[in-house]
Amino acid sequence: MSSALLIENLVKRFAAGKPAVDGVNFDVPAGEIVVLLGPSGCGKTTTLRCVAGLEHPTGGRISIGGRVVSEPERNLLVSPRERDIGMVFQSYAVWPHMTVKQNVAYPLKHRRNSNGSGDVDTKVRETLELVGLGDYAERPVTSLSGGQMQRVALARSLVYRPQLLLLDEPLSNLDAKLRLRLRDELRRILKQTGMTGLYVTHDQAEAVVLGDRIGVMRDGKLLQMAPPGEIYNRPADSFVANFTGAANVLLGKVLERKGERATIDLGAAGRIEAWTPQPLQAGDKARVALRAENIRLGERGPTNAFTGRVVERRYQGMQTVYDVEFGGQKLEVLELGTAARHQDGEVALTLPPDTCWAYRDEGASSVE
Amino acid sequence: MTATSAAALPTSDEVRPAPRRWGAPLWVGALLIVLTFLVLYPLLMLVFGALSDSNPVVDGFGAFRPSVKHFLDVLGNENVHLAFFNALAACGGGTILAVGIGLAFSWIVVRTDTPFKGFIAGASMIPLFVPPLVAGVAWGILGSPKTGLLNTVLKWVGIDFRFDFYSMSGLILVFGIYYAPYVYMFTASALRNMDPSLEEASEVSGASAFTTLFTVTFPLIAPAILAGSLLSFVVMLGIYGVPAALGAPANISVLTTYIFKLTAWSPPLYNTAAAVAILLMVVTAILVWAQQRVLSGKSFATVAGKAFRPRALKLGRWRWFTFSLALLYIFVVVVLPTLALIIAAFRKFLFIKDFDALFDAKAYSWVHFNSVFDNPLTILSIWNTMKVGVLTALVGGALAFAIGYTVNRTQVGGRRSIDLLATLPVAIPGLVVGVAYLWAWIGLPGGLYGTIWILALAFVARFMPDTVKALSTSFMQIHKELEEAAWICGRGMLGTIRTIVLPLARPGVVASMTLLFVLAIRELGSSLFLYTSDTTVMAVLLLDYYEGGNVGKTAAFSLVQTVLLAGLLGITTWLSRDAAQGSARAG
Repeated sequence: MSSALLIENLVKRFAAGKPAVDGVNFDVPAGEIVVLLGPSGCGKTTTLRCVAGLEHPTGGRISIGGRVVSEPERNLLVSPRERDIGMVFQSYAVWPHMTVKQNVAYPLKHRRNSNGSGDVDTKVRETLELVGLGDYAERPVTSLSGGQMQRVALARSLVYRPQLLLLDEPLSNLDAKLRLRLRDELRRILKQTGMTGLYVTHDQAEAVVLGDRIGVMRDGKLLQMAPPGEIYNRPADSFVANFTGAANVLLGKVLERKGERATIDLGAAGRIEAWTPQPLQAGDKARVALRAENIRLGERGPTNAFTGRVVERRYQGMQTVYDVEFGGQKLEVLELGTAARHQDGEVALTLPPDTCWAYRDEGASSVE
Repeated sequence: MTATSAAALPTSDEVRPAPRRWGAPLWVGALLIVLTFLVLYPLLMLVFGALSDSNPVVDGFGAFRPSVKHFLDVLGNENVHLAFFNALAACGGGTILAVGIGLAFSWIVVRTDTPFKGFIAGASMIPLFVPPLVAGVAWGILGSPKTGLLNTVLKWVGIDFRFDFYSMSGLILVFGIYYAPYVYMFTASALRNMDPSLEEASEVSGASAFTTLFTVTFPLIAPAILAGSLLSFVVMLGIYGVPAALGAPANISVLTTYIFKLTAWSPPLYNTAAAVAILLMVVTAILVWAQQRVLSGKSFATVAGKAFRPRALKLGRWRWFTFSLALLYIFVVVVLPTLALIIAAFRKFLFIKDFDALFDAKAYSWVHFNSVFDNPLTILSIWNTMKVGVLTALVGGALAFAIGYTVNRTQVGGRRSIDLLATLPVAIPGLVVGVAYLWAWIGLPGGLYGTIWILALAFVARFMPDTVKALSTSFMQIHKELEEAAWICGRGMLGTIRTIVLPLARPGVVASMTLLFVLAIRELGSSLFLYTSDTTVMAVLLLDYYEGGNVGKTAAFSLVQTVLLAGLLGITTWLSRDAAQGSARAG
């Protein structure tokens, strides 16, 4: 089965300076949703806009449904209107001078290959039902709430069943509660229609729920492209680890490495066994990243068991956060549940080796 | 009990010094009296004039014979109808043309990659500074049916077509090209503030760029288009210079020229003029009101959210086409009229036999300039104009500062009425202000009539809304807390204004006064009824020359005016830039 979207060595350079997108490669098989995740300015939106044809790439090739739509080396550039794509914008971009129905019917009326207009009404009605706005067809869009406007925008981009749906941070203008609800519903709608999607966001929770695969980007480069489980359990580098929430970092030196297992000397704290995706050498400086919720407090496991001291405890109702010190290094530990079971003072802790990820120490690479 | 609880919760009023308790009403009262004197009294006299049939000059000031019938007679008069419909036709046609040009220009400047956009945007604003009468004179020289320069050129080339700008279509054309910048100002900013994804969504949906323009872009900025066209219509409606220059030779009267004609009868028909002036004012007021409604309505185009840069459409080779369109406009509206004035002013005789004769040095001389400056009235008018300009700027600036501060920065009772009175003139065309002031002062013995002051006060009243608005914007930029900090430091109200507000608002004050000065020295409409031979001003004298029929002298004096105006504009821009730098340093 051919890829619905294939991006090869995409480069986009604005004026002078570093390229906004720097040699990005990935593909999206039909029916799959790929999420591009990264901090602002990482090039994810530019990549999406290149796929849409709203930005003109400097190099590389983009193919949609097996057809090359952009290849600057051959002076090839297909205009957005001929790419057979749908797009949902962060600012909704619903047209305020039209009703809900007029907005959704617009693409059906203005597309070149719209096959007859007899079934416009049916298609519009079906799509509005799909996004849960069946009763709103005749309303002016300006009377709708933000969430409803974004549903209109979604309906407008689904109504003509494009080969590829592009979503540019569609939820980030909504308030937190609505965002959660629409996020789950978006996944349902996309899967129900079998749409192929490219979704851009800076919100990891959104990425995990919506994406069949997630691509983490930074400084115009695609760092890792993998299913959510792998991104969360096997981050390819320390930036991915940090960006997806592994906020704890232990500094040390590599003692030895066997395959994907490495032993790191943490100094006064002792030694730690860790998983590593990188070819670390003995003597390399290393940073070990781990998630607060993967640390087991009050347990003494077979490996990586240490004794620490609870310095501070912050009870948050559903969970408790502990600041734990051991061997001169600091860890944040998260305990789920409404009961805070550990007191200030000495405590046993286990850092399961599979959840300790060692990377070459290239200086701070944290995301604020 | 109430006293103690009030003391426990000090309101901002109580932070201020105690003398304000009687000072505030006194201050508000004084402002209201000044505004009544400047705005309300002349307007009331205008209404009295329209509703009576006693002539203030003949019958004396005290005589007032009310006569509603006279007013109704005027409204039923055929000539009034003709002038009314001529005005609607000229301004309507002019507005349609202005919308076309303004919209095209704003699209070219904001949405395309046309080269030298900054230059185009700047140059297309020049028409706003050209006095209407000068524009009218220039186009008369270019397009008069027999001797017009354009027609001379057509004859040389052997094309059997002749322009006639002394006609309704000439009027429409000149209105349209000179007042397009008003439309442009509104549409360009609306286009700039429009979320580009609204257009991108249309493109992704499969619509062509052309379809997008007409189904998304233009409908979205419709309020701006409407506001801009209403404004340009209102401005055209109040213009005297262009229809006086181009309409009069063909006997086309619009409301403004008709009103002036009435006062030039012997004996002058002041009552009729007042009645027609009221008609003009009511139409203007309705349109201004409609425009304010449009502007205050919810704007479609702006969407809060992430910052965006406006999209610039890549036109490819077509960008040279849009560039030449823009150049053509600038050529027609700036270069051509200026050339016409220069040729007419320096040639002894306007008749040009053939192309070679155009470059015959012997045909050119300073003779027209000499005869213009031989006339003692010329120097007098320039001197008078400067005096009026300075008086207007100083009095108007100070008054606008007082009003702007009171309305925007205090909570005193009565500030709404002050605001209302100060904004009222926005709906009164300059010519109507002139007629109203005429009515207000002509019959009063030993009064203002016949002095420079009546011109200055009329201008102060006429431009009050613009000045107050300009000053209010600069007040808005001074944070209220800066003042409150000075109060808390123990400064009184006046001390705070002197040490905090005035220095910080200085660039705004200087800019507003400059604006007032420039507006005052080019104003014709209200001067027409208020000058005497001792107080004649440049704009009025130019009209005299034009009506005297000597094209050379008219063109020469037009050039003198244009050069003076350009020079003063340059100096004042330089001055206010200096002031702006001063504020940047203070900030």
